[in-house]
Amino acid sequence: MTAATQTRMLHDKIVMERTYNTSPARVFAAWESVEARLRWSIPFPEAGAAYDQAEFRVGGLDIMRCGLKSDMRFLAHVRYLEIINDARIVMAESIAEDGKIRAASLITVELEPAGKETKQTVTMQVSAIDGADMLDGYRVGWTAALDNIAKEF
Amino acid sequence: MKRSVVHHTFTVERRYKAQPSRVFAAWSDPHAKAKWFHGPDERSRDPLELDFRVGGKERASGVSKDGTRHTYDAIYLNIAPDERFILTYWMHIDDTPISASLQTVEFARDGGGTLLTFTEQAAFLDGFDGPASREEGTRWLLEQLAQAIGG
Repeated sequence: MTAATQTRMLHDKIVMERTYNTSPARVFAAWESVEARLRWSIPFPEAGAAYDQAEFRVGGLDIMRCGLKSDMRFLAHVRYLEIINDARIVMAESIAEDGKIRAASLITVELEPAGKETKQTVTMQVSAIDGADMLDGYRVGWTAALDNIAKEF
Repeated sequence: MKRSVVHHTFTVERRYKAQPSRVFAAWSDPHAKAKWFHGPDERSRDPLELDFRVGGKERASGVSKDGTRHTYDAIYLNIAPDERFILTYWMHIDDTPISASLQTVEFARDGGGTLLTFTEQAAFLDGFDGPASREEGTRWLLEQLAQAIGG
């Protein structure tokens, strides 16, 4: 095996905190609703996403295509491992590009009331296969998406 | 109840005398894995259920000496034969979720043997388990594996 064909794994943890001016129940609803997610998860106007399957329940599986509207080359599988209404969501995601897996991640969403607001902490534990660009993609995409959630309220 | 999540990542490296295909098979073959993959102090255990393919599920469950049932459930996310697999797994004690993890296991040729690199990215839920015991348990399991394949 030559060096060029050896895969390299990159493991990283990304933490993003936001405070939203609404209740934990409404923030939770923005994660639960597929329609809401299709609004806020789009990081920029040229990007697109479409669900082939959506099962927001423990043991459920979402299958989503995303990327540029003109080229939705990424396929995400999201499995819900734990859901506590208005408080916590734990999910495992894998992302393939053109049929080849590029990254897997464990994503924890924690919601806490803070007065009349809600503090949200999203922790992404990412394993990227051959790709620092995937880690950059997580940072850029999720930064925009979590900012977008504020527009839901 | 005060909810909490502790995120922790650890990596364990372990060398085996056997070549990568043999070490990999000890994880991918249900009969081979059942020989070493179980808890340390079990009063009884269910047969290992293992469907080793992308999207396939795995379950290992046993009752420990204190009478609690410990259950491991996993789904395989990525498989590169003899080289790597990635799974997500989550643990319950009785009906209480205690952790969720991403586990990456890599197999590299090391002389005539294998260097195994085990990386776990874990979220420990509500204080029922933690980084130190999980890492200790992983080292114990990798030693059980060594004994099962003769080093």
